[in-house]
Amino acid sequence: MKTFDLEIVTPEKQVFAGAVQSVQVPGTQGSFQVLHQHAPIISTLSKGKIKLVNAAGEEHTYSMQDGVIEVLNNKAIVLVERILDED
Amino acid sequence: MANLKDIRNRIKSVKSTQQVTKAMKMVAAAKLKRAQDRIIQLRPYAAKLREIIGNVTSVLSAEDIPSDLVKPREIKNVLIVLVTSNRGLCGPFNTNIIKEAAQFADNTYAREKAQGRLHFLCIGRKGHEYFKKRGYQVLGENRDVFTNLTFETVNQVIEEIFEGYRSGKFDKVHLVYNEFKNVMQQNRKVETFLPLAAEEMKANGEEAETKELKSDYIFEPGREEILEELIPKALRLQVFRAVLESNAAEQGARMVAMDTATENANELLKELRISYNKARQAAITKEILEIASGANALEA
Repeated sequence: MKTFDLEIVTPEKQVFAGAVQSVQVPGTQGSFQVLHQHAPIISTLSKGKIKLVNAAGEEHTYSMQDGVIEVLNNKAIVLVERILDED
Repeated sequence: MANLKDIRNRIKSVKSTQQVTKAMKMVAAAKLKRAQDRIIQLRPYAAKLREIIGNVTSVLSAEDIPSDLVKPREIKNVLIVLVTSNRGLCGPFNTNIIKEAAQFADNTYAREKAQGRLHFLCIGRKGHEYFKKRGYQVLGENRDVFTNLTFETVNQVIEEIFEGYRSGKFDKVHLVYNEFKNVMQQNRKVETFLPLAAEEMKANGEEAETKELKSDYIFEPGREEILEELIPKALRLQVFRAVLESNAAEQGARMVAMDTATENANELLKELRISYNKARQAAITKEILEIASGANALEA
């Protein structure tokens, strides 16, 4: 499966960086999923869960609050002010 | 000449003080490292946020930027947010920044000050004590910010500022803090925090435009709404950064101050040892003299 680069950063640390197959984020206008070669987008995020599937096919979930995502040239960056918990 | 016991006591006390200053220097060095790391960790977030804001604003003109945090209004009430430290023993760190803030207030807002419309919000105990004692209008103390320095705790202070600004309690907010330059030096910074300069954001936007060749982004929801969310984020970041910078600068200043103190203690010890040995030698000479003259008296 094709992958793209994802970074999740907070003001305090980098939460995740690496290649993923997909990521699902809680957009302000509804949850959406980003896959390989997604069109460029900037969207604000509301409180909810980020679900990502990494290159090895494992799923990770993060609970977050207040963020923004930018996707450009097969690279997605999620800026989050607060990660509530991760697993 | 002071007697032997006095000098011995002084040597002992200087030595123990020196141990304290040495330990404090080492603690400060360790804390400085951590404080610097935090600033570095903040950078990717800060850079990206700037870039996104630049992207979003690139097509908007300054008037289109909607947030009420941007529009300048008639200045009636002014707030100065001052970042100092909770603890002393860090050389002129606090004194300098407090002086800077007081001077800035006197020069720029003398009228507001006279009318009691100049407020201070101090992050850190030292600044709070200073301005409180001198009868300024001081809002919070916010001592906890440094005992538990996270984005979260700083955020509480920021929300207080936002709320005051939105409700019209203040019309202009300035940020005064020490920026970490290197271990030896701090830059004293006075920044305008609110209202946000729309021009500045535009400048960032144009920079991004030339760099990125303006990608056709999908904006969700619209540009204005995104901006409305992003501007407070950028502002929160600005305060958080100021607090982190001040924290690093404080540790740097303390390290230098304690290093100098240790050094001075060494000098002092050297001098004390010399006078101790002199006194000891004098006592011995005196004793020998007494014995010799006693023996002479017997012989005669």
